[in-house]
Formats: sequence, structure tokens, C-alpha cells
Amino acid sequence: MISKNLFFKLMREDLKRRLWSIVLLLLVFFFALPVVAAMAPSAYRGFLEPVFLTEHMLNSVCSTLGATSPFLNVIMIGAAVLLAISGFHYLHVPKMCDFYHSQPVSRKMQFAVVYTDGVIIYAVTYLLGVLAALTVLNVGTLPGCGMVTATNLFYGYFVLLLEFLAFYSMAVIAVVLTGKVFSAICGIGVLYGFVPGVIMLVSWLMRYFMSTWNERNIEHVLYRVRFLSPAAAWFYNYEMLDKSSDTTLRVTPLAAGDITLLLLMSLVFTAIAFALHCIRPSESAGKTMAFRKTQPWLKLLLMVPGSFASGLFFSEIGGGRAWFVFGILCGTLLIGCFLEILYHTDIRAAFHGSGILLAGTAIAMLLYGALDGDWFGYDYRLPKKDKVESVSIDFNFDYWAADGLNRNLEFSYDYKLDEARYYDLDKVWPLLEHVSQREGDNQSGKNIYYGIEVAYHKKNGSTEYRSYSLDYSDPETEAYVAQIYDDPAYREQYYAICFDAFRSKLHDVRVSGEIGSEGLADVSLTKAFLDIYREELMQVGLHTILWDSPRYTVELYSGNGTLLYYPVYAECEKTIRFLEEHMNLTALQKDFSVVYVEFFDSSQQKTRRYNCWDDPEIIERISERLTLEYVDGRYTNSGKYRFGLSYMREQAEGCFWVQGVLQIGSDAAAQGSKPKDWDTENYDYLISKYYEDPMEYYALYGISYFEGMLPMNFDK
Amino acid sequence: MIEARKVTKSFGDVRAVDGIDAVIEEGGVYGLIGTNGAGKSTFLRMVAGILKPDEGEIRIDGAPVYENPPVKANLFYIPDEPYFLPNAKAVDMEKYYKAVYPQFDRERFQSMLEQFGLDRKRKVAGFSKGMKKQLAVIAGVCSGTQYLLCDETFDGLDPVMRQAIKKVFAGEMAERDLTPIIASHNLRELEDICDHVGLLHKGGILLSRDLYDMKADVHKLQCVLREDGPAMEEIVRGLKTVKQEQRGRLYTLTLKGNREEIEKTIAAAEPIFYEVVPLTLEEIFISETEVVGYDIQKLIF
Repeated sequence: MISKNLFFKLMREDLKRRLWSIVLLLLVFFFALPVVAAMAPSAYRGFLEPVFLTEHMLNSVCSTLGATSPFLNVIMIGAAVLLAISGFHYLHVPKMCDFYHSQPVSRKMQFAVVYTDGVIIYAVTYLLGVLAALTVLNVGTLPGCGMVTATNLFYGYFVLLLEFLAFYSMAVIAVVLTGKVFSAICGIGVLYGFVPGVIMLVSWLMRYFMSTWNERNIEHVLYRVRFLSPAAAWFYNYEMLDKSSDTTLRVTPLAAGDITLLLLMSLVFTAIAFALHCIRPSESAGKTMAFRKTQPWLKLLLMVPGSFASGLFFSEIGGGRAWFVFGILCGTLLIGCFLEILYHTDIRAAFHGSGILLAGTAIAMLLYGALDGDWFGYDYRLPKKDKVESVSIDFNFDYWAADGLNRNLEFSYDYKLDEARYYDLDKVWPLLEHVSQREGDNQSGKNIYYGIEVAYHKKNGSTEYRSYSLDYSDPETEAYVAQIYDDPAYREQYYAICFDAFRSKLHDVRVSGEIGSEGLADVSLTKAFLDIYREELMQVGLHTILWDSPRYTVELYSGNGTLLYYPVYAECEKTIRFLEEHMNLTALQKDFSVVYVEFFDSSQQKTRRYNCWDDPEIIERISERLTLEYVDGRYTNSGKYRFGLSYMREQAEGCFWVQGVLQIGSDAAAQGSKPKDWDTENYDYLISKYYEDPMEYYALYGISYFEGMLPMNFDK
Repeated sequence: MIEARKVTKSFGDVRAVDGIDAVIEEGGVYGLIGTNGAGKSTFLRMVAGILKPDEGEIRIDGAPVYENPPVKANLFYIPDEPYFLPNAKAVDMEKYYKAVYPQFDRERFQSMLEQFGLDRKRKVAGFSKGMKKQLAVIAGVCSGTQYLLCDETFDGLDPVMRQAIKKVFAGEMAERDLTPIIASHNLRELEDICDHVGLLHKGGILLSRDLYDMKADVHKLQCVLREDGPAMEEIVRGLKTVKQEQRGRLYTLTLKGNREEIEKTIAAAEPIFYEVVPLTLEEIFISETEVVGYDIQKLIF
């Protein structure tokens, strides 16, 4: 009883001491909640029909005052930092520390009092803001919408309070671990950002060093380790909440597991902060770090990733591995010295702890060697086949299979590599072994590659993602791919037209040609078309898809607003006949008068034009190879033949990207240009162009691809 | 009773307190004397339960003090520079101490503030250094604790206030056995108040003695001998001489032993004049530390 009385008395006294933070948060919440509630909806008045006004205002209010409000989220993180520092600041000032620790109050009690007050200050000031905002909304701006606004605002209150607990506890750990306000702020930054930062850095490094690395691995790692960092959990939760809207809440409610995770995180972080507070020596007030033993570990933990970040930075600027090594050495030295200066508050102490400095440099160089030399054979290594249950492969060349829809026709980033599964490993493994053996050889610049993404779903429930490059000009590769791609079991997983939901929701079919598009006159014909087309498309072989151009693109509209583009190849005879019977396809053709190649030179930020042809024979030949879409007033080649080329000047003046798009049109300006001589057999001419004007070389190179007459290997 | 057993405390590479053994009995004033950096404040902070000893243990009334609120409820620590809550007035501190020390006497606090001429409703931040020290002492006295740990508390106080506070201490000691433990580098400051003195040097305790015992054991003799009488060396041969000085015919000796025996020995030599005068604390320390082989002049003065 005495303890309880003391606890409440101390709480009251502590609140008096922290009056300024209470007033500050009251002010912030006043402007963030009732003031915004009064202002935000008025922006829509006069612009919207009254029918839509209320709904629009409700959405606006819920997004600015609810869980996904950027302002409230920033306040939540700011309040966590502010309250942690204002509450436990006494640990940083020797006089204050002596004052509190000399009193007959245990450190446990002291922690409980200050910690609880921090939570109460945030919870109460935020609650008052919510109540004030609801009053403003119900009395003034949105009368009659009390249920929706109250549900949304209180749900936001609940979620942000949970997230505040996690952030606040982590910030308290940082304050207790340090002995100065400045180092506490740095510590909070490190604790908040370390896990996401290191994961991001690993991702960058793997992308830099490993050609088969796939970014999705990191997303999964981040998802799995989000419990280590409130920032990582917050990123994830924010995306979840913002994903779609429940009608009453106006946000997607967090799963029970995510709420439990937040609570557990808060509990664990609080327990750590509590334990550290209890063992924290009073004499550490005024020092950079409260626990001397943590100093070398912290130095090492920051120095190694920091050196790699520095390596990447210098490598990006200077180019090449030598600059990477230079960056590592600079990074370790600068971070190591900076931390020692911070520890001792003395620039002369920069080289203290040189053993750790050397150890950090050695570790960083060792890791660099391992990554650069791929000591563990990451790029060549396949998971053990007997441990893999299924694979997902996204071949990427078939844009219609890469539409990112799941079986319910909802957008799903995860469907292609997580949900679509292919179980015939005997068909997949020869391809994967073939491509993984070729990885590691730098093959860029020799041929045209398509990148593929592969997900290995293992029997233990984990998934490993890889990216490979396939050279389709290699017949062996094409044969391996055909084994999989021509298997209906594969296509049924990736072609949305095979999904049951698609058939039931399809309501319109249009065909796009060189000019405009035509739709099926009778909506009832759509299902008949789909049946014919699907059957034929499933029979179109890989070789046709890779090397032939479709004659038409069909646009398939489903009832939920989904629009899919699918190719119609010449061998889809029944489909073409069906289309010809029900629409005027000839109206979609256009007689082109000129063909030219344009490149956007990003170094000079201007478009340059090359190779204008007005020879009908060439135009006809190119037209045959293309299926066009009408974009921004001109025809482009659907992205299929879009190519990006890297270019390095001989004098090493720099490098930039050149992106080329074959354009076909009747541009008056292009009419006056004379087509250049084009000798497809003359390599010397092409190579000489490279040395004369690399830009022109690439223009020729691009056209050579379309004409399909030159081999791709210009590696001379 | 406060007991320190082999207490050691280091700050980084610096050993501030090195194996202190001390016993502080209740009911008296314990003076902790030493130079700057001798370890007085560190020792006091360990007694107050602020710092945890690296080795050894400090027990108060038989129980360890560190992280032991019931034990700490019986002591009040007044640092060299007292801390008060931000923007607090004396009345706010009164409320705070009342929350922390249940036996805190608010009426006494208010009357003492009046007695010392401190405005209860004035912000403490506006007080002078001496006024802040007075306020801290008043708070300490009114907290009702048995032990009052004062670190350089008399430093910065004017002589009148110093005497007033000593008087308060004396009254509290008589009334409820208050035990002030006063750390200071100034021997003269503690002379008329301490019952027991501990001398700290370089983190260790050189000596810890009862002042009454020390005074009873060490005596200062001033004496003028007859010209035809025996030499001083012969007269004091049977006594333990700590120090001997001569100015003209006046001898000044510091002697250890029983006062009556000393007087009897000197009287037998029939000197022209002799007198046994009381030693100052400073002189006692000079003699005591010299006995253990230290030159106190170098240690303190």
C-alpha cells in the first residue's frame, strides 16, 4: 500500500516536472486534430456535387485524422523521442542523477513512474485531441457521420498508441544506454534505423556483387525481422493499413498477429529498458555511453556496415572496385575515429581503441573479399532439389502473364512468385542448372537477355528468390524453357484468362491495331471469344512467342475494371476468324510513310533521331515484326522491343543510359531526312560507326535487332 | 551504525576509493576529511546508495544500502552543489520531499525557512549559493532521517549561518540522535562540531579516531625551564614526544600520554613556567599522521 501511494505521489511530482512536454503535446494535437478536422473538409466545398461531398469529406477526414495520417504518425514518433528524453534526461546530468538516486526510491519504482508518465502524457493528450476533433466534426463539419468518424479516429488512436509504445520503449533504451542528450538522440537514431538500414545495405551489396540476387529476399527478411525494430514494424503496418479500406474503418484493420507482435515488442523493449535502468551506474551521467563495455561493440557494429555504405558511395562516384576498397578503408577510419572522439569528447582520442579499428577493417575487408570473389558460390549454387517443394518462375517476356493479378483478379504483387506454383521439378531443374552454371560469367554486351525471377519454395516453408538471365538465342536454353513454358500446368498458373474468376467477370473485348481499337459488338460474344482464344493461346509454342510478333493485341475488360492485354498470333486462326467475323479489323491498319529511331540521350537531356526510312519495303518489313500500341500520339512497340543500352565514352568522360524506342509515324520533320545507307553485312561499317559516334552505333544496333539480320555479337 | 568493509570504487582507470574500512556510530558527528580528490564525495555517494561499490559493501544498521529504499529512507544526502527541481520554489520542494520522505516535517520546514529568512514562494533558482545550501540543510533536517550526509556543506556559508546550522545539528542530535556525516577539506571548519574524524587520502582511510580520545591522548606543553635545571631532553625522556620546538627559552612540545603524568613529570623539573594547552584539530592531525608516517602539511594544507 505504501509503495502504491508512493508510486502515485511520485507520478504526480514527475508530471509537474514534465509540464512543458504536456503543454507542447496538447498544442500539437490541437493543431493536428480539431483544427485539421475543422479545416480539411472545407477544401472540398464548392468543388464537388453534394451527393459525393459527404463521402469525399469522410474519406479525407479519415485519412488525415486516422491511423494513416502522416502528420499523426510523425507526431507519434516525435512524441516517443521527446517523452523518452524528457522523462529519463535525469540520467544524463550528474547532479540530477545523484538527487534521484539518493532518495529512498528504488530504480525499479523510478523507472515505472517515469515510463508510465510518458505513456500517460501521450495517451491523454492524444485522446483529448481525438475528442475535440470528434466534437468539431459532429457539431460542425460532418454532422451525422459520428459512427464512421469515431470508429476511424479511435481505431487510429488504438494503433498509434500501440506503435508509440514500441517506439517509446526503444527510445528509452537508447536514453538509458547513453549518458548525454546528444548521444541519446544519436542512439535513438541508431536503434530505430539499424535493422532496416543494415537490411537495406545488405540488399544493395548483394545487388552490387551477386548477379542472381533478387530483391524479394530482403523484403522477406525485413518482414521476418520486423519485430527487432519499431521502424520496420511501422513501415509494414503503415502499408497494411493503407492497402485498402474497410467501409467503416476506412483503413485495413491490422491482423491480430500484428497487434500481438506490437504488444510483445513493446513488452520486450520495456523489459530491456527496465533491466538496463536498474543496472545503470549513476556515475555514467555525463559520459557518452553509460556502459563502457558496450563501446567497442557499438563501434564494431557501426563501423562494418558503415564502411560498406561508404564503399558503395565511393564506388558509385568513382566507379570500379578500387574505389569500393578505398571507401571501406575511409569508412572504417572515419566512423571508428568519430565514435572514439564522441566517447572521449576529445579529438585527440580519435585513435583510441585502434585494435577494434583494425578488427573492424579486417572484418570489412574479409566480407568484401567474400562478396567480390563469391567465396560461397552464391551465384552458382542451387538449393538442394530434395528440399524444394515447388518453384515459381516469372519469365518476363510474356507481358500478359506478368499482369500481377491473383486468382481473384485483385492486384497482387506476390502472386507470380509466391502463389503461382509449379511442381514438376524434373522439368525445371535442367533449366536452372543450365543458367546457374552460366551465372558469374559476365555475359553482358554479348547477347540479348531476358531476366527471369525464380522462387524456390522449400519444404520447410521458407522461400529463396533468385534472378537469372536467359539467352534465348541459345537453342539449348530455349529448349529448356520450352519444357516448362509449353506445359499447360505452367500457363494455367500465369495466364489470367485461365482463372475461373476471369471468365465470370469478363464483359468486353476490344482489339487494338496500328490505329485505334475495335470492340465486339455484342457483349454476349465475349465468353465465346475467350473460350476460342484461350484454347488457341495455350497451344502457341514458346518459339512463336519469343520470335514472332503478334498480329493483334486484344484488350480484355473485366467487370471489376481490370484491363488485360493479350497477343493474337498468326497461328491463332480460329481467333482471328472469329474477330474478323465480328469486327472490321482492316480499319485498324495504317499505311506508314516513314520509320525512324529515336534515342533519348540522358546526359544531354534531349532526343536524337537516327535512321529514317521511307522505303516502303523496309517499312513493311519492320511493320511485320511489330505489334503496336498507341501512346501519347504515336505508335510504340508495346515495350517488347524496347531496349536499354549502357554506353561508355572511350575518353572515359562518363557514362549514361541510352534508351531507344522504335517509332513509326508520319512525322513531317522526319520526311525530309534521308535514310542512311544500311549494309547489314558490313560489320566494319558498324564498328567504325561505334568509334565515330557511339550514339549512331547504338541506333544502328537497335535497328539491326528489329531487322533480325545481324548477329548480336559486336564484342570486338 | 554505518559500516564500510573493504569498499573500493574506480571510475575508468582512476581508483577513487581504495579498500576503505570504516565504522560510523550513530549519535555523533563524523567528519570526513581529505584533500580534493581524496575520495570523500565518492565515499559519501556510496554511503548514500547512489554509487555501487566495485568491491566491498556498505551497510547501514546491518542492511546494505544500495538499492534498498527502507534503509535509504533513514538517510538524506546533501551534495556539494544541491539540486532542486526545475522552476521549483521552496514550497514545491517541501511537497516533493514530503512525497519521498513520509516523516518529512512540513511545519518544521516552514518555521526553519522563516528562521533562516528564506522565502517559501520564491524560485530556488533565484537563491544564492549559500541560500541553496541552507535550504538543502533545512530539507535534510526536516526529512527526519537519522543520517545526514553533507558534502562540503559548510563551504560557501557565512560564519553566522555556519554557526546557526551547527546549532541546529546539535539540537537535532540531542533531540533524536541525528548523525551528521560531514565531508570537508577544511579541518578548521569541523573542529568544533565533530566527535569522530576520518582522514581520507588517495582513496584510502589514513585514520579514523574519536576526537575526544585523540584529545585525551595528545597534549601540547609550553614550558620555560630554569637555566640551572635539567635539559628538556632529560625531563621528557620518559614521555612519548611527538614534536619539539624551541623559540628562545620557550619550549613547545607535543606529547602523547596521560595528562596528569605529563604534568607531574614537568612539575618535578621545577620549570619557571609550564602550561598544558588544548590542541587544535589541525595539530592533533599533524601529530597523528606523523605517527603513521605522513606529513599532514603536505596532505591537507
